[in-house]
Amino acid sequence: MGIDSDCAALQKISMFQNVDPKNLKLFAISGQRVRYEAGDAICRQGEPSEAIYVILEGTVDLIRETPHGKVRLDQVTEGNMVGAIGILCDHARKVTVEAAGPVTVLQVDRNAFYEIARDVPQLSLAIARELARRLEIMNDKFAAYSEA
Amino acid sequence: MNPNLFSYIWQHSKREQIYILILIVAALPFYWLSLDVPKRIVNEALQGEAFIEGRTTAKLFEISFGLPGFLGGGTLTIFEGADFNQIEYLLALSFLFLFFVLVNGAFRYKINIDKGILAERMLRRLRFDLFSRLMRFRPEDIRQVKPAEAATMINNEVEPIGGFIGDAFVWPAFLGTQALTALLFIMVQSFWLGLVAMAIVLVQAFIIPALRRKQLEYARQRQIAARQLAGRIGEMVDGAPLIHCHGTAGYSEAEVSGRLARLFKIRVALYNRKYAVKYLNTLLSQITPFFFYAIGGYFALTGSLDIGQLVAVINAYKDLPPPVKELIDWDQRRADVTIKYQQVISQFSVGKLLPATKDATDIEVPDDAPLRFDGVRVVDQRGSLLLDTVTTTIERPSHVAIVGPPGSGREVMMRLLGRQITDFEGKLRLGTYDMLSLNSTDASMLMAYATPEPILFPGPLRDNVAFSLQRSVPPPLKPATAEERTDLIEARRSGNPLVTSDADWTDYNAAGVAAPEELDRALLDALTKVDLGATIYEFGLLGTLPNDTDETLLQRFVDARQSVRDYLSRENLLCVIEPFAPERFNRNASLGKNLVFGVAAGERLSARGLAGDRFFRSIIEAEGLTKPLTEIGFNIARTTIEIFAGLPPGHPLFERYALIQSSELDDFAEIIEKAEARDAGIRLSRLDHDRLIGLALQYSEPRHRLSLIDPALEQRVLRARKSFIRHLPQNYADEIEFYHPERFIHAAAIRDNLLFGRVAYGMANAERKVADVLKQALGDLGLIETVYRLGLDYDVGPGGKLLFAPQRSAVNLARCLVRNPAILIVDGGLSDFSAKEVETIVGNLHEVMRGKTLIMAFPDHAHAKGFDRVIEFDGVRISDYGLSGTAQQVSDKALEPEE
Repeated sequence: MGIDSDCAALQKISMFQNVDPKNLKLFAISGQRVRYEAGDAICRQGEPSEAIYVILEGTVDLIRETPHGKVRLDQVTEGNMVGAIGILCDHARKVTVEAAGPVTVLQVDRNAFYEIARDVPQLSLAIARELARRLEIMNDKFAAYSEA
Repeated sequence: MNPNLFSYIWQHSKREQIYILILIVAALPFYWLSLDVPKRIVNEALQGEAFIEGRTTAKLFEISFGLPGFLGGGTLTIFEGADFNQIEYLLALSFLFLFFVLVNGAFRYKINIDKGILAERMLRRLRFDLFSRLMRFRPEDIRQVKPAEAATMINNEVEPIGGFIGDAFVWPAFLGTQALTALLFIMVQSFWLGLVAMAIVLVQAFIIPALRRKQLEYARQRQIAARQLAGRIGEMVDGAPLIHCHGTAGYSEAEVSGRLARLFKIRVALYNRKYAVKYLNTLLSQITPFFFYAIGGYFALTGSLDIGQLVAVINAYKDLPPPVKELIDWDQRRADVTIKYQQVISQFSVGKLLPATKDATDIEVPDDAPLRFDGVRVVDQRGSLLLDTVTTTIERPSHVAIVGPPGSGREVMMRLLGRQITDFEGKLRLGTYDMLSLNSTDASMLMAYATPEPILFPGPLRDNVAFSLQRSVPPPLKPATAEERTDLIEARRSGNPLVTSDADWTDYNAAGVAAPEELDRALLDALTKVDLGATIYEFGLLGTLPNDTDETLLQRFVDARQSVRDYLSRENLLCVIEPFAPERFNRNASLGKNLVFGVAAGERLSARGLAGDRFFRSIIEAEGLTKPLTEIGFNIARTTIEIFAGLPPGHPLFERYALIQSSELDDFAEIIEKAEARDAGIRLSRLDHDRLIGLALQYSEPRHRLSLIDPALEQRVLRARKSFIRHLPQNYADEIEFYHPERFIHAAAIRDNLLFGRVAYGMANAERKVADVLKQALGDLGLIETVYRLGLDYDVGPGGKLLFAPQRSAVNLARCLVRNPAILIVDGGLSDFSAKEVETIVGNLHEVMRGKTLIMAFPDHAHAKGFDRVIEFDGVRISDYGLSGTAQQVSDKALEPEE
């Protein structure tokens, strides 16, 4: 599994669909393909945000660790990215990301991510759009909740 | 600097110029004699004037002087000379002529060499003066300077000035005296012929330069017109779709045709002028002999000029036009170079300069002397207010945070404290000293300013951190060798410093160490304080020990292998290590390392040299690997070009992830183009193949992930490895260090040596976990300090590009910390760090600067914690002085009489 297949996987992600493949390859080459087994923690709640993860294969659980035990908040499947907000907002991880089964992620470290974001505007714009889209969804949900 | 080039030259090279001028004058009698001897050859030897009245011999080389009457009159003979018959006389005079020719040549050689050295010496001085002046620019002035332009001016633009400097006085003197000697000689032979020669010389000297001026004007017009034409063609090529779309090709062609016509006219005028000047020049030099033959011949026939004189005049005239022509050229160069010099000087002339002295003076600033802002106000060149009047006192020691958004007065106040702004109203004092009056060395003894943007130089991390300590001027070394002596003399003659940067400039006192060997520890301490300790350790693991490392230490590393395995085993991490084993392909090592099963110890089998090595090529050829390796190299090159071509040269991502250097990108693009055009009959050269194979040899599948290695290829590589080891020629023994479990591999990284294998890529957090285990093992074995020191050798790359942004900022801070300043000013520069890193670093700085003064800038209050005082900015004004009481009280306090 090489850069080309990583790039193909990235192209399937909605936010990267309009990004030039060569920029996606640059993104892919700056990262590392890492494999986790079921139950492995990809990152832990409270730890500093050091990387973003694009899920290439498998599914991960987003888990909130509380004094009363673990609460699964959501499940994220392949073709999605986790960890970007922690990197961009520069705060510690709000949740633990755990492999729900065998998972392969493209892990791009914080420093490399920043350098790409700084020099490849197309990619940073794609990420900004994705975050704006998520915010819009949240706003819509909140509006619907308020109206109800 | 002297604005007049000739004054500058005379001021700094008077002695050398006078020496060469003396040589020129000394050469003149010999030149005169070399003109005179041919006359004697014709008259005395050939026409036999020395042998009249039946004499068969004549005297030559007699040296005698007539004595004046008061000395008794008569003749004083020093040498009686020798008698020669006519043939001998002719030969003797001919050899005498040859002797003078050689003497004249020797003088010319000596003068040229001396003026060449003089020019180089002056060029060195000029460049140094310009650089030294640039370093004295005030911070606000140097910010206006474009680095590339300043470098070009100091390096390239002064080059022709340097070339001219040697000729400035010497050349006109040399040529002028030669021309005048020749002219005088002609006049002595015949006044009228002398007048003719002088008239022609004057025509050459005045008319031709006038004609040439117009020629130069045409040349300038041609250059401008050609540049405009090129620009317009470029625009039209860019706009070709528009031209096609609107069918305006005819109009566009007519426009270009018009420009071509104008260019044609200029060029024709230029050629007319050029060849007119040439014609006149040639005519003048050829017409003169006509006068000499006609008029001189007439005089010779009428007996007022002898044949020898006529021959001598013609011979002397031969030497007249070239010096005149060269004098004209010299004058043109003078005009060009004078303008260039003035241009360069004007770029280096600013209103105010920082003090020239770099030596520390005996200033004494008490530890508690406060920093006082007394009505400090800053406006920019357009009159916009950058900092509204600040009157406050920063007590010492204290820790002060200055908070304000980007673009606010906070930035200006920090730059003022860092002495980066010198043009302001009011007074800024440190104790009783005006901050502006302190020279850089004095100021640096007390305070350190961490710039918001880190500035790193290429080279080891160690040199970058220790750069701030390079201010202890060492005494001039006593030259030990002749070369060192010459270097010292030349440095003195060209006004350069007598101590080179090779000497030890380190201020060990400032670093708080007693000896050079303790310096690394101080540097590491400073780097640890800025949270870079772990990074330095990782760099150290990637480093190699120098060849002269003590054998005992090497053996300790070899012995550590087993301990490391035990540690890894305890942490269940042995599975993430892929060991170096002779019969196994190591997927996490490069193809090259797999093929040779070792590390190159010399150039021949290095990453660059291996592909071109004949023995290695014969091995891969025999195993049928040449083609697959070339194809792998081709794929790497194509992908690299595709991915990285859009990034600027030297971009960090390029340096870090690409197998090709940015400078090689064009070469590989050409190779790819050739390889893809093979059908068109273009073939790759042997060198092209070498370069592609060279790329393949650096490739590792898990790291570079281009899916280029399959199990079949791995098996072939293993077969080739066996052949390589089995057939390795005797004379290659020192070129490679094979992986051997019982030996230290000098050329391999410390981590490879400790693990005797590679950490597998793609295993979750494997590298970090292994690094942690290694740290523990190395700590227990007492080897960790060596690894940290090796980390200081890490090359940061041009501008620190091989470091990530936070690492660069950390080095910038460590550089200030290492010299233990009494006042540390950190002007932001923390934005690249994560919040946690900022928290750690600020905490460490509070700790390190306890009992001293720490002033830090922050964009908001998030990290401005633990400070004695927080000054807050709202726009260009201080909105909160961070003191109990009002700003007015603060102001009153600040204006109390000074001690």
